[in-house]
Amino acid sequence: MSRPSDLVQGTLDLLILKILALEPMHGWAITQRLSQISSDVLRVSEGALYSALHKLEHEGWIAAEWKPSENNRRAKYYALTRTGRKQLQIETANWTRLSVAITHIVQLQRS
Amino acid sequence: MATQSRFPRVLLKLRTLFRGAEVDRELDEELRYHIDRKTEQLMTQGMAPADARYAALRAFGGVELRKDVCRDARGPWAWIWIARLVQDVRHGARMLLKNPGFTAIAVLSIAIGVGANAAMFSVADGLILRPLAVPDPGGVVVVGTTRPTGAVRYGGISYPDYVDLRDRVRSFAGLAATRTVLASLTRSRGEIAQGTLGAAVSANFFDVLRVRPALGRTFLPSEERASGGDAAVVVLAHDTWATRFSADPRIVGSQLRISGVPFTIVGIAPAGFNGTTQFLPAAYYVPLAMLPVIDAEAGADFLQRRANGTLDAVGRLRPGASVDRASEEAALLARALQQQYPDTNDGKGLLVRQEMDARAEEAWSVLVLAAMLISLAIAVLLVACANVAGLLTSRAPARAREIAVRLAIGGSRSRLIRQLITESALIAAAGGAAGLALGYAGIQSFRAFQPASNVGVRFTFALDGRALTVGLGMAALSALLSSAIPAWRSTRIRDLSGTLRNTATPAARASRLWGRHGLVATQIALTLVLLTVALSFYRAFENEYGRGPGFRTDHLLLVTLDPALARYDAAQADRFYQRLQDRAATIPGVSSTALTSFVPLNQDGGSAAAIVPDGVELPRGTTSLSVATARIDERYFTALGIRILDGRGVASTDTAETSPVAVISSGMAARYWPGERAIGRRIRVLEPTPRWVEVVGVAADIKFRLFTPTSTPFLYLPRRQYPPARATLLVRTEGDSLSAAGPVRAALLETDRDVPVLGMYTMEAYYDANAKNMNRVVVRTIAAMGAMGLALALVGLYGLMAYAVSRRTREIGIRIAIGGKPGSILGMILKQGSWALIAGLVVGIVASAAVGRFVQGVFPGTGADLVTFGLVVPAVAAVALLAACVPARRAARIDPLVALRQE
Repeated sequence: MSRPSDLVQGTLDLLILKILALEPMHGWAITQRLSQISSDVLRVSEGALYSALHKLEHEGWIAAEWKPSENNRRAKYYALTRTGRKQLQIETANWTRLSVAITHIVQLQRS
Repeated sequence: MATQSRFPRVLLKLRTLFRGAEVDRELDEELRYHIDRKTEQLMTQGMAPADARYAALRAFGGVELRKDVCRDARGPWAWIWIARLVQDVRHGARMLLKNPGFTAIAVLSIAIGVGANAAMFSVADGLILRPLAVPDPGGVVVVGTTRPTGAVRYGGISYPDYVDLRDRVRSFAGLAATRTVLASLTRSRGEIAQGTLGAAVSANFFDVLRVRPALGRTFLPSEERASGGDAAVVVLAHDTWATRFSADPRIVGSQLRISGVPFTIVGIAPAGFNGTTQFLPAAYYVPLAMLPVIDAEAGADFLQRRANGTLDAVGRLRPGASVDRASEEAALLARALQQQYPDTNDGKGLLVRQEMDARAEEAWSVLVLAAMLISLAIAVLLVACANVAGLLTSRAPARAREIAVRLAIGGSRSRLIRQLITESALIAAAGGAAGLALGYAGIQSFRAFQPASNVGVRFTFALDGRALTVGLGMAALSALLSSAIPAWRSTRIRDLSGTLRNTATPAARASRLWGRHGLVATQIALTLVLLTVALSFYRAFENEYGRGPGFRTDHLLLVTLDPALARYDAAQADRFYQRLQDRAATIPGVSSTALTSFVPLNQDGGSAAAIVPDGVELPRGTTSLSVATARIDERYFTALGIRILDGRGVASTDTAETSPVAVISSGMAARYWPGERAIGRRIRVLEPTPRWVEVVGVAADIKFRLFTPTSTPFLYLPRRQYPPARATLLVRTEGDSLSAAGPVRAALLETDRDVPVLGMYTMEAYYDANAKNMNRVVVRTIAAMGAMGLALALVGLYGLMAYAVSRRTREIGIRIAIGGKPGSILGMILKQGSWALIAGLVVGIVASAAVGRFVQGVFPGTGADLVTFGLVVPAVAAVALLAACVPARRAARIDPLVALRQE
């Protein structure tokens, strides 16, 4: 497969929360970070990223603030909120469970 | 470290909802930032600037589309709210469709309640409540005249008095004068004249009421007092314009004839405006100055005469002026006028009232009737709501488990309540829609109820905006009433695990049952009140008409004519009647004819005469008595079959040349000369010129007006001595009276085609319309509401019993299994229901007695008596027991094996 795998539904939220847990970031920086840490395996549609950001903001998990960016232009920085941090834990746990389960199933089929 | 959100969530949502443009601008900026950075990145990789930008945009995948997706992600509150509502409505509809029986009964209950309210309100509105069709009707005031006796009359103002009021009472911003007139309205000379109601008004009439013409103009100040042809202008009512002139806009400027006099049409009044007199819609408006020209009775000195005022004064107050202040000023003015013009204004006081207040004061009994109809309709709605509430409560245990499950998995209580209310709202919406249809049908049936009026007296009942608003408001109210309490109670589950295991505590069960017993008892009580009121009205009407009106109603044709409208004087009119009677007598099948100025039970109002009976002491502060009177010819008593008890009737020899005589009703004889012979007594009749008349006969009492005792004094005067302007020709026929209508009309046209026919009825139709229909409609309406209440209460009682039985199926099964007899089971269940029944009956009897006393005070002759109770109470009790028996019998036939296996 030459195409990078599509994201499993719902995991984009997890990834965003995880990235923002490190430091507040604007949308552009998040796309850069995503491709960087996943070594280009995961490619997020840039548009989808922004709708996900807006959804998370309205869930109250992340909060936005306009700040001058590294190139001195105003950019919208997103940061994790307290509830967002809890949500990150929940989603991480979910993901771990899910991936363990899927790994199990996949291995069962192989053996 | 977690950042504290700068906007708490709620603020964020509110910002999205109310500052959408700002949020959109920020989104734009955010996305532009991204695209710019991407472009920069691609340029550092060696792309040309234009290519880089294009690639960046492409990578993003449609910026505008993305913006929409982001907006959706934001999900403004309103959308979420609507989405939840849709979810609730769907869920509610599913629940309702799952229980079609429950839904049907609930919807039907609400439909009956709402329909009754819409119909009753529209009737009450048509009878009295509807405000004038003018801007700010609440600001309209009217002037009343008072007498030393304390009697108040709204109207009765002379033109000079009106001018003084208008110019000297400073509280008035404007005061207009109006008077109902009756004249023929024709377009050409050849047309058969038809009497039509109109209004003679002051020039400022439309301006004061703030009514703007739909077309053309209203009156000029100069036209109010101008004499002769200068003021021969007319403004047509919108209805008249639409029906008689097919809404032709070119009609303005053309001519028509009123009482045969040519008038120029200068304007068209706006649609819906029919003047200021209830039930007497004006078809046209003419300046006051023209009144003597079209109505000879008004008198040529009409604008100068202070005595015998006939005008109504309507006005508006200056900003800041109060009705009380205006009334005080008017009273002061009245005192000044009394001193200045003692001959005409002695004892005449003036007062000012808000128009609606005056209406209520003048038609107090109509207002009470309206209030009563509306109260009854509200009672029906309450019974319906109690039903739906009862049904919802009885479903509560079934739903308690569903609700407990949802509460257990974390459903919020407010959301659950909201959902239950949504369900009730759906019932109310369906019920409301069906109810408005019912109401419309009801209103249509009321429309058939119109008095047999010669001149266009009419009631307008319509499912208009006002009635619709009331209906919809009632539907909303019923949704709230019937759902709030059951919803509150069913979500207040204390013992969650108990409910889940379906073992409700006995205490909870008992309190729920107690509530339902209360509801059913209330329903029965309200029903009892409805039925006793209906029955007492029916009995009152039966008393009124059971013995008949006292005169013959068969084989008679009534033709009402007004030669004065063709500007005949008294002598000409007399010759006209003579010619017409001679001609009518030759028609085959006509046995005789008679003339009278007044037909009994007339709804257009009869004429009254001011009299002073000889030797009778008048009440203090009065100079004369007023009695109803008819001006008749020698054949009147025979034609109507009214017996002469003493002396003689009117004779053909009682003419202008002989000494004046009168025949009085036996009630009048008994009132003024009790225990003595009335023949030979004298009565001073004050109008048109005061003179003594001698009583020559006493006639049997007849019913001459609705709701008036037959013994009320009535005075008959010979037509030749007191010529009437308007008269009705009574044509006695041998065969069917209707078949004489054609030949009589032909005879009339041959005699004089200019004399307008005001109306032609058979006496049967006339009597039906004026006496029986009214009776029927009122009784039927109240009885229908009683029946609806009873039906609803029965459904409620049945529901209660069925519910109780279903709750006790297991217990009953055990009782039967251990040898309980079906009879004792039946008794046990019935006993449970009979508490509600007995309580309801007791409360109902007490309430009915109280309501009955009140109704009796307003409509003498009605009121709940022992006979009424004797009929209603056992009937309600029997029917209610029957409704209770059905589920009780089912309980008695329970198969213990099935019952015990059930849970």
